Amino acid sequence: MGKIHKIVLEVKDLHTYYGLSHILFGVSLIVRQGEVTCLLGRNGAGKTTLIKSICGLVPASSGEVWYQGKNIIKTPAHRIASSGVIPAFSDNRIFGNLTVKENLEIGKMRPRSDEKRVIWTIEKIYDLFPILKEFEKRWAGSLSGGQQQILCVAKALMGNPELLILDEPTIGLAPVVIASIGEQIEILKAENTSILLTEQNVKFASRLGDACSIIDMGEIKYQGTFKDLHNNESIVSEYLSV
Amino acid sequence: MDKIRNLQAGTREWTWYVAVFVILMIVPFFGSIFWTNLLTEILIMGLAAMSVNLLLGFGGSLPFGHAAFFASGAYATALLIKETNLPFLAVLIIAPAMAAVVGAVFGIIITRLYEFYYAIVSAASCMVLWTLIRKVPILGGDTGITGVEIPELLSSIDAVYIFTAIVVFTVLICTKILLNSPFGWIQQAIRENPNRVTCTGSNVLRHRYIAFIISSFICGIAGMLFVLHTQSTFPSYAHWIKSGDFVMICILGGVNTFIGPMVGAAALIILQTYITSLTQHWLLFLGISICLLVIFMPSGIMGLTGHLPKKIQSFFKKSGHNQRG
Repeated sequence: MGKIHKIVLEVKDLHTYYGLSHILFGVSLIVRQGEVTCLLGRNGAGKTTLIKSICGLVPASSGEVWYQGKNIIKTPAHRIASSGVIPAFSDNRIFGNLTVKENLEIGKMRPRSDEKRVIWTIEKIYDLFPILKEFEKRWAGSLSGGQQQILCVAKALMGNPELLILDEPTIGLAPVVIASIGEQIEILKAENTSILLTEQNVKFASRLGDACSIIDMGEIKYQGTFKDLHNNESIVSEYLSV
Repeated sequence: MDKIRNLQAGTREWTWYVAVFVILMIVPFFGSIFWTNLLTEILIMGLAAMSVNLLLGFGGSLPFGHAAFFASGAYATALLIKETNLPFLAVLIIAPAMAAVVGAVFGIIITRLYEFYYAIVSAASCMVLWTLIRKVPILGGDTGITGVEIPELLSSIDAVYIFTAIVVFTVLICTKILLNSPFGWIQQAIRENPNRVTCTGSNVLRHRYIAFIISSFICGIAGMLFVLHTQSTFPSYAHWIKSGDFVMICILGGVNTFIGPMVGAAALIILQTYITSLTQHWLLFLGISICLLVIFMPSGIMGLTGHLPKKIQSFFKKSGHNQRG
């Protein structure tokens, strides 16, 4: 890899609890500008909890999350989202009782003053995902799983994310749909969008990802590039194979 | 579809509104005083229930204290007319605004809560106001305020009715426009999943608070209209049982539709009027009929509108098959 990109988000020594049970044990993670950073791990490894802690949805008990020169660990969730860290979760992806277009309109945010990159508009979203234009007046709840996933990503894009967080975008989807979502993510990457992607599907992630971290039992077990990961079968079989 | 409303009102829906409005406007010229009175009450109760449904059907909360805002609007109107020399038009604006102020105060706590806690605290705050109203001398204690003089122009039953209908329709249209804006979409999104709304950068707490104030303002308008209608106001307006009425009207009419509360109000009040004329034990029969309505029409009376035409269609299709066969 040539030059090293600027850091967008840095997580340092994050601890999170659900009630009394300790979920994240000192997780550290770096996401760089314009890269796809993958967070791999099995079910229940702590991927979604980590993301929820970054987004302020699950309060972390200790640690730091640095974004745009500020520690956002205590910032309310809606401020984090409006400052550009926008998640797209795999469960309850969309608002089913609104139409596709209304879902997108809700995702819209005021452009931030320091906006340098592409500004996403509904027209641009429709260009990228023509299927949404076709279904714009339908109830979002009546879309198929794959279409809902696309809508979920599109809704997040409407907020013009500095950092787009995709939580298992391929979960429960057919291989054809997974391939098309992969293509869309590549387009986003080409647009210089920084992406944090959590996945169980190593094959899918390795096609897109630049950097990669493996999380297991709430701890980061591996950090590096996919190239090194492929040469290291033991890590893959220990932490990722089912 | 059982999903919430069709807010993108097509021309067909607007035609319906205009038609209903025109019919309502000519009622006083043909109907009896009895019907004019009944319709005035239906419109007012429907409006109050609609303010509840803004939070119940569209926001996913259960407000059990809207009687507080109904009473605030009513008492503010009565007091302003009796004790001050403010022009009538000013009263019409200040009275609902007072209800909104009360809503803004109560809402600080209530809108932070969800589900049962929301319902219980809103009912409790409503009872606080009920107690206050009975204890403060200027509010007339248990006897309330009677003999509120309204301007000549509105002194007849028909005039109050027409005024009510105009105000109610104006508020209905404004609410419809509001619900079909990003504000309304967020309100419905909160109903589904507040956390996800947070992820779109909206401040859920602030949004719920503003919606609560708007709702209490509308309920205040209903209270104000009721004083113009009856020229008196009583502490029972602030009792939580009144809030229960509003919620019941919503459920009866269908919480998942915009116009449901209006239909529910018509159903409840007409039912009430007819059953009371038949028997002394009207509450018993009213209760039973409401139980039946809720069991057999879980999505309210408006829930039928989607199914009924389809059922009729399929019935005719079937009989068509039989003929051919």
